[in-house]
Amino acid sequence: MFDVKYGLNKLPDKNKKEVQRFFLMSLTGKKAEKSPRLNVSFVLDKSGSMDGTPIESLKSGLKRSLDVFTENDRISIVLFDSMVETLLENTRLYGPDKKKVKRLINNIDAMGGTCIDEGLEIGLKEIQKVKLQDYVNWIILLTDGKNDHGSDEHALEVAKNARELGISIFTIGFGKHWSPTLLEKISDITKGEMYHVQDPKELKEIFTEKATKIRKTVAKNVEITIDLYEGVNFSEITPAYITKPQIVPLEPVLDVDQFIIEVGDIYEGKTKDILFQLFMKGNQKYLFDFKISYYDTEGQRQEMPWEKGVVPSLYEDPDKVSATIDRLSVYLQSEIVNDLLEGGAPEQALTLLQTMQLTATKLNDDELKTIIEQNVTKVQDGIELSDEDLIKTKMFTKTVIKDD
Amino acid sequence: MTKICPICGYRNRDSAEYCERCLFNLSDTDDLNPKAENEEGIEGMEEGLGVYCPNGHWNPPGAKFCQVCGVPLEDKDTQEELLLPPEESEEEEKGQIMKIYKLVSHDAEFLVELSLYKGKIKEMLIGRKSGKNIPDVDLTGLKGAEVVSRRHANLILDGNEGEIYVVDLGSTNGTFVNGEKLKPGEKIKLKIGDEILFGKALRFVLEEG
Repeated sequence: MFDVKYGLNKLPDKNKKEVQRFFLMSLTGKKAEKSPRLNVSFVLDKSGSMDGTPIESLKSGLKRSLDVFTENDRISIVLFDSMVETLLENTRLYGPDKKKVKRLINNIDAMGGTCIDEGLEIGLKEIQKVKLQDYVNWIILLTDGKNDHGSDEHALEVAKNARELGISIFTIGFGKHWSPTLLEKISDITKGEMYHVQDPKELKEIFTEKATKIRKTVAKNVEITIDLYEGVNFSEITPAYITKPQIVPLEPVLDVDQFIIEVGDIYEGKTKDILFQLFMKGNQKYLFDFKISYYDTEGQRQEMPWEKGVVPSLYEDPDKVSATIDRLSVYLQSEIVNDLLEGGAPEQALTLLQTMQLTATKLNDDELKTIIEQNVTKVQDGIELSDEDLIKTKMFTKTVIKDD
Repeated sequence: MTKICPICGYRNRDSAEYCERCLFNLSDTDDLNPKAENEEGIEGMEEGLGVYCPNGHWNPPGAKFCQVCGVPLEDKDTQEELLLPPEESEEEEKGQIMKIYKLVSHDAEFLVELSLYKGKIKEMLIGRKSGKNIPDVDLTGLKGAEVVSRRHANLILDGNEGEIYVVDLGSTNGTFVNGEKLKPGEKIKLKIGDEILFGKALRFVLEEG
């Protein structure tokens, strides 16, 4: 189903008692034998602020995306403003039905406030109306605002429930007034992904793009089980992160003696990188045993054989591991910057921003560098960062490498 | 020895090449080691005024964040706890303080002050809460505490010798000092800068009070 590649940033050092090392694991989806059946629930914001071009673009984008769905797939559409409306219950789409659905979509009107969590809850209810095991299940959530009429806590609760059912959430923030913190938490919890749509025109493509991507799933709910050898430990504070395509924190869960790490889905031809921070003895002989398990597109649980006694060896391209560490550092430091700014410590924030600026230069990433530079200038001048600044910073620090 | 990250304030173990929390490359610290002189806290520092951050840096009264390491100083209760020296009345009851140590978690969010009273030996139980039994040092709720036993280890504060010892009480996941696992019942003398790991994930450093 996928190729596995791994290794360290640096070999251990026999002259030292303990060393800190980073282990990068790359999972690349192979060509799929059979494409999966999709079960997608669209949960879409139709609040008053979407009125005009945005809602019209959303409607035409949604209609266009119907072409991706075949009669073996399931689709549901939930709309929310301060209230929730199920526009389309979970259904199979036969050719003639598509026309009917398009007519329903045409009648969408933008008005009201924003209540994301209630919309998500109903979306989750709809998606569960079929046997989840038979499908690749995604909620596609789009909003242009903050959860003014709802509860963020409830939204995260729903996200946790979705994760337990093996359902992931794509979060799409449109415009410049949504909360990157909330959408990120929702996508992170469910091992989904997060997008920013700036231009209403992009709304015409985004749903088709996402549905097409999901269709390329080769393995879902991938889990890595790790059994550490004596002498090796995970960092307790930053143990593991997905570092590509987006930075997502991972929590290794201890089950008896083994750590279990859920890393989400793998797509055909795409690489998912996972970075582990480890401490080990300077003369460490073996690192760990590991095994990968997942669900295939038929819904069958598959287990790859245990890889026993992984020895400390370099990743084939150690520079890539160093660059990954640097990327992750920019992301982590950016989180600390937000806390410092919120807590009224702009001078501390500035030191961090300047460090991030140096790292971005080293990484040769102009977009990242530009946004950090803008933040540096604003903080120096005592100007508060806008929603738009925070959204852009989040997206550029989180999205490590644009789709390969 | 711990390496304090110059940009996020995390107390890293000696072996860290990158800051364990924010992945700052610690070998770059030479040009970025700000305000080291502030640790002395000479300017404006008067006895009894101001607050200490969890990393032990002095800050003027009312500061919201540590000037040296940026750690938030919001919680008033914590600040009062951190003010040295401890209340005098307590001191009278227990005798004369000989020495003060601090046991600080790696993220500097948890701190226990260990006061050695002259001529007295005190044992402090470290573990997790179990019903009404609350250990002297309660690690319940900390990240990684799931693998700490209810009766995990004892700290022995010896006011004769001025030393601190740790004894593992046969904990499931072990107690480690500087990476060495203690045998159950084994008593180890601790020194400033030692790293003590309870279970697999809770790491502390012993520091001067």
